[in-house]
Amino acid sequence: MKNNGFHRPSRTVHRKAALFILLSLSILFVSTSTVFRVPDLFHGYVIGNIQKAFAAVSSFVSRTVGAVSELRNIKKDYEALLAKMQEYELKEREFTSLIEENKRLKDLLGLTSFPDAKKIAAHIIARDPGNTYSSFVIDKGYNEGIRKYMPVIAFQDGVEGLVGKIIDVKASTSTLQPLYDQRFFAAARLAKTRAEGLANGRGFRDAPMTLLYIPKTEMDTLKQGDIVVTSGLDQVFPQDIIIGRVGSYQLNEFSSSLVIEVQPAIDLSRVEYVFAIENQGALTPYAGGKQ
Amino acid sequence: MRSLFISLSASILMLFIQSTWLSHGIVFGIIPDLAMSIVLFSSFINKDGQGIIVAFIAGLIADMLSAAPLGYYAFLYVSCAYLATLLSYVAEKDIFIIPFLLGTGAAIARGILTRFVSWIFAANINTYQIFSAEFGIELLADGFFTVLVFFILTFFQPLLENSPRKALP
Repeated sequence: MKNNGFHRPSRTVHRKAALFILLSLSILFVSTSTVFRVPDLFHGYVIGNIQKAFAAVSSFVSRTVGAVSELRNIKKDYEALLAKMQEYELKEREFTSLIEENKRLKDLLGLTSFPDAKKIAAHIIARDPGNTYSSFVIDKGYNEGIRKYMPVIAFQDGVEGLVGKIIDVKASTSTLQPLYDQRFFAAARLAKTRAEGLANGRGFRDAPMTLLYIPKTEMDTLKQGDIVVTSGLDQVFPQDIIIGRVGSYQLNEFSSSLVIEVQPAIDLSRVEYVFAIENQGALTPYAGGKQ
Repeated sequence: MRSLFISLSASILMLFIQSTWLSHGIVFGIIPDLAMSIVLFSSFINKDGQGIIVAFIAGLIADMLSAAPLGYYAFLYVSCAYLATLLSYVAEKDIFIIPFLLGTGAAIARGILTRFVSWIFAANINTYQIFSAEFGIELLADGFFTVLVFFILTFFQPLLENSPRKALP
């Protein structure tokens, strides 16, 4: 580093910096007060479609590379599959007849309108470009039935677990706040003892969540590995969706409640597809409205 | 104007790459801020403050890609670009030390500035946990990736430099 022969920055540089810093802070002030929103046309369509295009390119490249390596195994698998196909053809016929029979029986029992919540499958196409915010972008939006504050779940290794909630809906994409986000809160309870608390993210994908406000009287019965589920009291998440398992826990001095670390049931680094649940019980100010 | 457009395009491209192809992170889920590295490069080589304009527009695009409120990244990027421009008056670009200091310095500045922003605008503002291991990883990742970005961009420096037109004889 040399320190001789340098000039002082001109006033223009300071003025420029001051102008843009003030401008940024003004925009931040207005946007946090929700006075101003980015026009939906740009935010919803342009940005969403660019992200979709990037995700498509990425998917195409990975599929192409994968296809080349898979070609080696295809011939070997082909023979085995041919034999299995005949077997499956027989099974398919049997299966089709069973489905028809099942449908008939359901009609008879009046179970065709099974009161299960509607699940909308979506693909994660992008995430927040920075590390302080940790949102995901999914490829389904208002047009596909996604609404603000819909709970989102995923299936992994045979477990159905909570992933987060929808915080912003555009025409064809939506923003999902994962459960490890700093601002994520969910009313939760211990599945075994039904003690209620509040689950909160810590901001990092690999960091465990924190379960707060569980009374210290639970300390005797609490064990590592206990399951934590949603309680449904926040009217955002249906009850009994698995959040995760109890890791370590501690009782702070002079505190009446435990601080419990919860390891999420779903490993979000491996999740590609998620399901937004139509939560009919949710009574939130924006539920059902286009955002 | 051309250099501003090229710098801006490169940083926006990096933002989209960060949010899609690098979405799983490089180390422990941490995404290096490549767009910031380009903003720092543009700010460092253009002492007239062109990098600040690039930072502002790239920051606004980052805000749109993020769940952050509009103006959050714009403020962070502009502040870091300003610091990089100031540094360019007292230091010369080298191959490792200055880019590394710029990358890590920008990460530390972001960490402090998010606290400041959170203090002023409490609603919806996430902050860096400065003493966490994850922030340490991000610091190092930003430092090393800024060195890499500076090295690559050095080959394209004439395209990113806002050199004033030479006076006619």
